[in-house]
Amino acid sequence: MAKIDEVKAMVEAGKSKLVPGLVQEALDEGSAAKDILQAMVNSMGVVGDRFSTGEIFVPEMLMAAKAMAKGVDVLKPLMAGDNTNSLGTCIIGTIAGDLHDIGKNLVSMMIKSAGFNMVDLGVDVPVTKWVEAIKENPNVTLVACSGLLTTTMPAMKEAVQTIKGSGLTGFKIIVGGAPLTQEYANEIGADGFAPDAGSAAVKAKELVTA
Amino acid sequence: MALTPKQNYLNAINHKETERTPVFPVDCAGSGFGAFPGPWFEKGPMGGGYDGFGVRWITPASGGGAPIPAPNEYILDSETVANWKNIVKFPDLEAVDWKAMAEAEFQMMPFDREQTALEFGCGNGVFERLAALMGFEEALISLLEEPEACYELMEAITDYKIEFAKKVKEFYNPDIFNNYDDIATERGLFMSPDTYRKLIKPHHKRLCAAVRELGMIPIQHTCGLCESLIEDIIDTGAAAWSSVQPINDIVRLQKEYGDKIAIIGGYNSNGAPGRVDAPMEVMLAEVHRCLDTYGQYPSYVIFPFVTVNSLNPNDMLAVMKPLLGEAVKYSHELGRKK
Repeated sequence: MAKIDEVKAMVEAGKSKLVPGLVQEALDEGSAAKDILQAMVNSMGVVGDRFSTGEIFVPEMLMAAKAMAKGVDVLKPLMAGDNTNSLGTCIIGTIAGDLHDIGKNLVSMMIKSAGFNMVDLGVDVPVTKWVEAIKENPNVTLVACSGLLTTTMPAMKEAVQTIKGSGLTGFKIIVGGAPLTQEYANEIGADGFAPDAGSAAVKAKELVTA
Repeated sequence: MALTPKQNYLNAINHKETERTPVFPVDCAGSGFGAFPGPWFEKGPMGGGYDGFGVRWITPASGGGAPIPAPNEYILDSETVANWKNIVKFPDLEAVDWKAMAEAEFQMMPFDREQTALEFGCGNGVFERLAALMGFEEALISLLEEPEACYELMEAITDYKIEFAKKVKEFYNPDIFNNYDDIATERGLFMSPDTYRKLIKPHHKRLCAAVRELGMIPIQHTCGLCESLIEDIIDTGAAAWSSVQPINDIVRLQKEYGDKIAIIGGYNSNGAPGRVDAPMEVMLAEVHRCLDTYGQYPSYVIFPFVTVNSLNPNDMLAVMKPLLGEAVKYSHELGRKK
């Protein structure tokens, strides 16, 4: 098996201790850094699909993401300034009034694995901060708003409509969280909705590359 | 002879004959976590602060004042969990003024012990406590990377919980002891069933056995899509699964397992009836749906619940009172249909 294929398999298996060494071996074998990165991105796509179908669970997904992150650390010095694989910048946060971060963190991890540069605004993000972040960061292609609580759904609506009304362009807005549905996402004017972290990454890519 | 609300409630939990579907928390009073934030050393003092383990809790209005661990202020992670014995400090249960704590709660929410059952909510079951110490991501990674350390830590937490339960029996003397341990989300389990069975279930089972030994009825609280573990929950010895949300196929659970475990919940608090702008008629219709659908099966307790974006308990009461009132009224109207 070519080393790049071993890298792919070990990321999927969440073997974070093995992946850095295998990435180096793949480089030594002659594989290009961007190809190894793409292989890991593809692995995380498989992991996301398995999570969405219930074949694996959050710990396995976290371990795979950790394995990829360790592999990316090996590639970073070789890829500084190379944005060929990048799908742009994603601004992510939990909506105003909501201090839960687990959902946002999982989605952030998966969207990053799909090839986005992440800017994480944290939790309880005021409406104005979304617009500021879009202005302050280059090449924003996606804004991801997370909300766990029914009580903060109005804040989700306000954030989406404020961002849409800001006049800023070049990006799509995706929303998600336990009380949200596709219908609600449509109602508030979001461009996309995802029910879980795995499908969030798929939807993110779809929105940005359409 | 007509049953008292307490008798009716406990009959539902114990699979005996009932006269109508009981209503929580009307026919059964709540104490500890759920009714209040609970003992300060578990989830911090009212309004937020440090618990007895050194974890800081906050109480955002968006959650109706329910305490959550302050984000990114954890005392353990997946790298240090193997050294938990030197890091995790347990509260000294002997240093707590249990008598004063219980009396204060009963003064805030007086009830008639002859007419109304009493439940004590024990927050932070073994997985929730792990997540409070480490954050969810590190706790979940640790379950895979350091399973032995996690098992030992949760075993120590269970030892502490058993001592805690002894104090609860002595000072609260509830009919029911509710082990709050959310192991699932709206979408599914946090961890694989295999991980749950190896690392978490044994502790739930041991706590249930200890609670029964003390003369209280153990029940298991977990929110989320958790129906795949129903047989395991039954196996732990829990008399009921509390806060069963309709993301689970409740009717199937009742048909297949209703003689083995009581179901408490049913209200769709994450859907349209739980939205802040939900009209009262939608919320009341949901109460009816629960009683019409689930109330036809025995061993069901309706538990209407809506989160209110406020720290003022009166705002919560303003929403909950009509729902609970309707639940009691309609439950009486329906009676116990054979």
